[in-house]
Amino acid sequence: MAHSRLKLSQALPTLALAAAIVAPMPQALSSLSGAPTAQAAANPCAPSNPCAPASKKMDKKMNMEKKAGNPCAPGKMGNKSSNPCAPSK
Amino acid sequence: MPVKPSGLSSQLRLGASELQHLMRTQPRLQQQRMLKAAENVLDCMQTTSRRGSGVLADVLGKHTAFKEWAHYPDNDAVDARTSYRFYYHAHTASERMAGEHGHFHVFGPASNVRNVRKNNPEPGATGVPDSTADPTADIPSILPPDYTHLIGISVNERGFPLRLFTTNRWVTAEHWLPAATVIRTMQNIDLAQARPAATARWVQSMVRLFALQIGALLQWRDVRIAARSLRSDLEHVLEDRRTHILSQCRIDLAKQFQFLESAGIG
Repeated sequence: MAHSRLKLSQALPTLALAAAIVAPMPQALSSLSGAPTAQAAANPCAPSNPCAPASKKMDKKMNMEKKAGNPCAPGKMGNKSSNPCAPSK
Repeated sequence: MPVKPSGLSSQLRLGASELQHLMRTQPRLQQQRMLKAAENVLDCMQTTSRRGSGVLADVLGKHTAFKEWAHYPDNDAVDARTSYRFYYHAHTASERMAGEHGHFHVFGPASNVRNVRKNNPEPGATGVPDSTADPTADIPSILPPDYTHLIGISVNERGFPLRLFTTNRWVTAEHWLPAATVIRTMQNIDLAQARPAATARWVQSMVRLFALQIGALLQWRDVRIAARSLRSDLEHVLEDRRTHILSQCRIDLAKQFQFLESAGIG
């Protein structure tokens, strides 16, 4: 099967062009949705945890203990409601 | 160690000579994957830049406001077939590196206790299932997470990559695995069924394009953890809230392309 090799001579102009024409995205807005998110952002050790993954259905206390302060954990697909510490979306 | 850590700080300096050393240790297949990834990254950028947008516009979608800490896309992008996943978010402004708009967290699948038990029966087990026994009776009620953190990718406001980093375990509540295992998982990344598709393709290609750096960062992560474990309990080290980032390095797309060319695979 024919395979087109990368032309690095094309790569740098492509990057330069993209850098010139791609619109910058707006900066993130501070979440004003409530104390838990703000608190966790300032103090990732806080029990309210905006980014913990939504895992198997468990009571809130257990979830808080297990997931306390994991600011970068992934969420779980289709299980948003079981993650009381997830950020407002 | 072929790379240049700054003492035991999180910073790794990976110049051309270090990358060339690492490249020589890679099998041909891995080198070809890097080349293909470079092509895909370029293609992604050409496709999106024609619209005047970039990968961030794709992942942020129709959200009118980009909020700190929120995950994009909602509920993360997950490939249901392979269980690889990623999401994009931004910390508060004071916690972002200079020029950083936000970062992607990329995760791979990790076997949990249930899977480990199934695949590695205890010595003496006959292999004949006992239909009367509760198969989950001796399994802890809280299973470890079924994901492991592969890498974080910081980008600027136009979606150009700035930095790669690894995190301490508590940051993502991940299933902590040794670097060698995470590297194998990283090399097999497959986000073909994750959505949004263009971003998933970009993330997958970025991971493969910078596989050398990611491998070095994961190994340096483990070196730092091992050093700290000499002074403190490992569990305490992995849950130490004072440490977010364990290893990091700056990256530059143009330099990576130039490196590939100089290495003779571009």
